[in-house]
Formats: sequence, structure tokens, C-alpha cells
Amino acid sequence: MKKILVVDDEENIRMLYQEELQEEGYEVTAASNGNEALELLSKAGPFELVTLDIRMTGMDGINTVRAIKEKYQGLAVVLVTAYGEYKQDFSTWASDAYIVKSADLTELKATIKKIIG
Amino acid sequence: MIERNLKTLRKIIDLANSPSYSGEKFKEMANLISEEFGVENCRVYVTDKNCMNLSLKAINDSGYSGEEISSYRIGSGLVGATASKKELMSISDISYATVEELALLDEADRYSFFASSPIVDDKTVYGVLYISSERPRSLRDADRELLYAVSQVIATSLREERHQAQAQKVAREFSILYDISTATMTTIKLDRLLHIILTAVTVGDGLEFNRAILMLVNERSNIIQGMMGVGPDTIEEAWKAWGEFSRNRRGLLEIVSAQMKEGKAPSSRLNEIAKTIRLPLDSPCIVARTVREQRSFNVGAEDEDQTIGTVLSEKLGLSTFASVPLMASGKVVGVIIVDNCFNKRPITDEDIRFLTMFANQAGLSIENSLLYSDINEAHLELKETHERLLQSEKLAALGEMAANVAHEIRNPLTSLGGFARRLLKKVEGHTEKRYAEIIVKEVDRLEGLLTDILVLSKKSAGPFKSHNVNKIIDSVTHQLSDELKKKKVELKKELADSLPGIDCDFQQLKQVFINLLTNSIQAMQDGGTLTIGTYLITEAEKSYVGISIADTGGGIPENFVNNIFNPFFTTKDTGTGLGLSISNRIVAQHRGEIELINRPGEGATFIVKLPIIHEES
Repeated sequence: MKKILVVDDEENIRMLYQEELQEEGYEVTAASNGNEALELLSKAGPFELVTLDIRMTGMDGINTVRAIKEKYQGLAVVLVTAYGEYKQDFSTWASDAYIVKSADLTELKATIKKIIG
Repeated sequence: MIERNLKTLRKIIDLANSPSYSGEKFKEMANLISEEFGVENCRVYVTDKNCMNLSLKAINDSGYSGEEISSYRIGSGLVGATASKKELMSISDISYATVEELALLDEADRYSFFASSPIVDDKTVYGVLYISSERPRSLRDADRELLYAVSQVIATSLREERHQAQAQKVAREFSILYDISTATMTTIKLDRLLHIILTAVTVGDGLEFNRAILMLVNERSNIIQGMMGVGPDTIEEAWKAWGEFSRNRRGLLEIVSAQMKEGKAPSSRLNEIAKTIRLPLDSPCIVARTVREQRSFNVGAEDEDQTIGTVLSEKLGLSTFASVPLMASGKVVGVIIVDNCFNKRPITDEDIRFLTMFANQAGLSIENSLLYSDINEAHLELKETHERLLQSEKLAALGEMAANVAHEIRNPLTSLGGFARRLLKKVEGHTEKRYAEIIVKEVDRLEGLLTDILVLSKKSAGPFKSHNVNKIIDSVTHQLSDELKKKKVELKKELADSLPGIDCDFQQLKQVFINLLTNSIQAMQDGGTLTIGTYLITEAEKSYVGISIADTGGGIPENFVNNIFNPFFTTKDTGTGLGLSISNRIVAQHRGEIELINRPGEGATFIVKLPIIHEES
């Protein structure tokens, strides 16, 4: 079963993504900030994909994505954020995909499927 | 004898010094002289301003007063000859008169004795004192002395009178000039000022010309442009105006302030024609020469060599007129043209002198007004720019705030909607499914609103590429074709064939036109016609592509017009009120502008102007 790490500082969102992605057939672990995510990546890995919120308390998404890309080159990162207007800036330089947070998870699921199957 | 003469002289001097009205005074003198000399007839003639004619000023009570003796040319008749020779002439008995003497006499059938004494000082001939009687009478030396002395006294009186008249005239001119200057100071607005100036030139209390036309020099286009004309169009109108004026005898200031109150602009045909006059500065026309040579012209009908523009002669019927430059700071700013086409009063050099004096003052006022309107224009422009800045700052601040709020809202919305969707899957078959559906739908709507707000707060548009506006329009109308059909709106496309490409963000401009078209369609609830046109505009050496979107939806209510570009302003029940605001912002990012032409009761037209920016810039 493919492993996904969901990183978001909002508990409800973590719970929503976890449940929805599990129903899609993934094994889902959740972290509430960047530090926790990096810790889980090294301890509970290997993961195939990380969904990452940008604005988080503690270590934020931008720094986390840098740290991840340094250490785990093959790991796919999908930025999921409320900041829709920065899509152009982010998708090009760091992550594999950039999704604007929405209650409709169709786009998120389709994107994950496209990257890791 | 001497004693008697002295007595007579004293009486004359007393009369001369009496404060009574001039006509009375000279009549009394004539009576006294006729009595003292024992003649039936005594008259006082005075010369006119140009010393060409003598006219009757006073006659004694019993004297003969026929039309034929009321005036003489200098040099003609006994009276005229006396004035030109400046010496006493007399004929004691007509029976012994010479042929030359008889030739001078036009009253030979009435009188036998004639004496005529010049009223002169060392320079000027003021007039002639004339006596005659039916009986012959010899003129002794003492009589001559007396006549001479009396004439001297009358000369002094007349001289004084002339000086007084001159002083009064100067005082009146000053008072008119003062009135005019006060009147011109009541306004800085050019059209009102010009109206005041022309009123002053034409009213009875001002310069008293029949008609006046004011033209201003346009240095940029090298022409003289007619600005305004004041005066009656027909002789009937002229009589009516003069009649009114003499009935109410209002002063210039009163007339002007009444006009200001009525806000009345001259509505005559003269004014209409005046405004159409355009003369090249290098034209041979007198009016153009007035500007070039910085001097006034007094053009008589008989002046053959004076060229007048055809507009002036044919449309205005100018033949005898004067043209005076309006000077300000040593420069000609315009021309005043005046004539007396109705009462045919000749324009004198004196008139020109006064008009020139007036024109200098008027020129200054006009220059002030022009400067003011320049400043005012610049001020308005500044104000507009300032307002635009404020508006964009307001939008930016609002956008930033909105963006922050939007982000904060998006997270809870995501979980709210996300779980509602999960619920929806779980309650399949239950009646509660409807509730979950409602939550999902409403969250969708809220997310849409957030997207709108975030577009508004976005700082800059993406990279621009060259696109053809027609293609954007085609893509938009294609997308909205179902909506158009549903609302029974007929689409008319009037797209220009060969439009140059413009540097733009295709998606963003598409958003603009979707917003504008959607608004138009929604304005036509009962169907209508939507006309989209594209065209090339060239303004002040810059080229734009113009896109007009016209609907037949009744237009925008006047009280909304100023608000339509404000964020969150909407007249619709379902709408964020951000559509036009976003459109405006996107177009501004493309250095273009959106204009609204509102036709209340008919429809509204939005015009988007996008600049064509060439490679080199």
C-alpha cells in the first residue's frame, strides 16, 4: 500500500484528508507542522508523497519543502494551500503540484493518482 | 454813451456768470443784446467739434427762427464768412450793399442792417454773434467796441462750457471703464467674461455700438476664432432693445448682474455666426491684420483696398466697422469687431480711442481668465489623478485585507465542505441527504466568492503576450452562447477586420469580457440585443484597440453610475459585486481604461480601451 504523509496545522483538515485518501486506498499518516513531518519522514518512512500546507505554525511549508527536497529527492510534494494566487510562483520551482485548498477533493485525488498512481 | 456800454457789458457779464442752464443763459444774452442795439434779431452760433459748421445755439425771443438759418458752413454766408475771416463784418443799409456783400446775405429780403462778430480767443473760433434789423442802422465805433467786448465774454463762456463738457466726458468714460472693470471682475469664467465685455461694448450706458463680435487668437493652430457676438439681428429687434433700454435705463452693472442671474448666453443668430468664424492669422483680412500689426482699423464703406474675409462681409454684412486688438502683456490675445449697422452712426476716431482703452483692459481680463482656465484644467487633472490613486490605494488596502480574511476562511470552509461531502456519501438513501447537499452547495458558493476576492487582491498580471482581441471576444461569446440563448439575447458582432495584436494576459482579459457580457445579459431580463464591436482608436498619437459592449437593458440608474466600479457594489441578488471592480483592475494593469456610456431608459455601453504598445517602447 502506497504511503502518503499529510502535513497541515488544522486538525480537521488532517482528519478529512486522512479519511478521504484512505478510502482511495492509500496508507495515510498525518503531521501538524514541518518539524513533525521531517521526523515522521525519517522514522516512519519511506513515503511516496507528501501533501503540504504552506502557512503553518512552527516550521512552515516553504521551509519544509526545501528541507524535504534536500534530503529526499525522489519524494513527491503536493502543496495544498489557501493561497491560490501564488500558484505560478510555487509550482515551477519546488513542488510537483500545487493545489488550492477546496472542500471538493477531486482535484487533489486526481493529482495524487497522476503522480504516484 | 460809454457809460451805457459799460452797463450793458456788466449785464452780459452777470448773465455769463449766472449759474443758469446754458441754453437759457445764451437766450437771455441774445435778448439783452437785441434790446441794447435796438435790433429785432440777435443770434449766437457755435462751431462744431471739427470747426466745419456753425449751428444756432440761441436766438432772442422775437427773432426770426427758420430752418434755413439754423446752420452755416464755415466760409458760407455772412455768419460763415465772419468765422473764417475772424473779423467783424457789417452792412448798415442793404440799399448800399456791394455785389460781394449781397452775395453773402441770405436774409436780404427780411432785413436791412446786418452785423456779425466772431466769438474768438487767440486760438479758437467758438462761434459768431449775429444781429440784424429791418431798419438800416449805422454801426459806430462805440457799437463795434461793445460788440467786440460782448463777443469776448461769450467766448469765455463757451470755452468754459467746452472744458466742462470735455471734463464730463472724461469723467463718464472713467466711470464706464470703472463699471466695466468691476463687471469683468465678477467672473473668471471665460464665456461669462466675454459676454460682459461685449455687453459693455454694445449697451447704451457703455460704448454704444450696435453690434460687437469678439474673436480670440489660437496660437497653437494659428487662427483667429470667433467666440461670441452680441447685438440685435434685425432693425426691429434693435429698436425694441433700445426702447427697452431707454424705458428701464439700467446701468451696465445692473444689466450684467441681471444677465448673470439669468445665466443667459446671447442666443442671437449673430452669436451663432460669430462662433463659426475662423480666420487664418496670415489672412489678408483686416481682422487678421489687426492682430499682426497690433493696431486698430476703422473701415469705411468707401475704403476699397480694405480686405474683409468673406464670412465677415457675407454672413455678417460687415461693411463699415472697426476692428480693435485686445492686448495683454504686450501681446494680442484677440480682436473686438464693432459696427453700427442699424443706426448708421459713423464710427469716429474718438470712438476708436475709447474702444482701444477698453480693449486693453478687457484683454487683461481675458488673459487672466484664460490663465485661470489653464490652471483649473491642470487642477482638475491633478484631482482626477489623485482620485484614481486613492481608488487604487483603497483597492490595494482592501484587497490585502480581503486576502487575509479569505485565507483564514478557506481552511474552515474546506473542512466544513469536505465533511459535508463525506456525509453526503454516507447518508445515501436518507432524507437528511438534502441537508448535506445544501451545505455542499453553499460552501461551493463561498469558495467562489473567495476566489473573486483573491483575484482582486492579486498585485500584478502575468507575463503579457501578443493576442488579437477579436479572438478573445470569440472565445468569450462561444463560452456564453448557451446563456445568451437562454435569456433570448440576440448577439451582434461588429468586429474590425485587421486589428493589431495587443500585449495582454489572454485569460485575464477573457475574465474581463465574461464579466462585462454577463452583466449586460443580466441587465436584459426580457431579452434584447447585445452588440459587441471592436475598432482601432488613434488619440494624441497613441493607438488603442477599443471594444464596445452595448446592451438594450435600460441603462444604469443615475444614482448607481458612480458606484459601479466600486468593489462589493451590486444591484443583483446573487453576485459578489466584484465583477466590474476586478475588470477595472485588470484593464488598468493593461494600461487601458473602461468607460461607461449610460443611456438611461435605453441601455448601457461599456467601452474598453487597450493601448497598443509597440516593440520599441
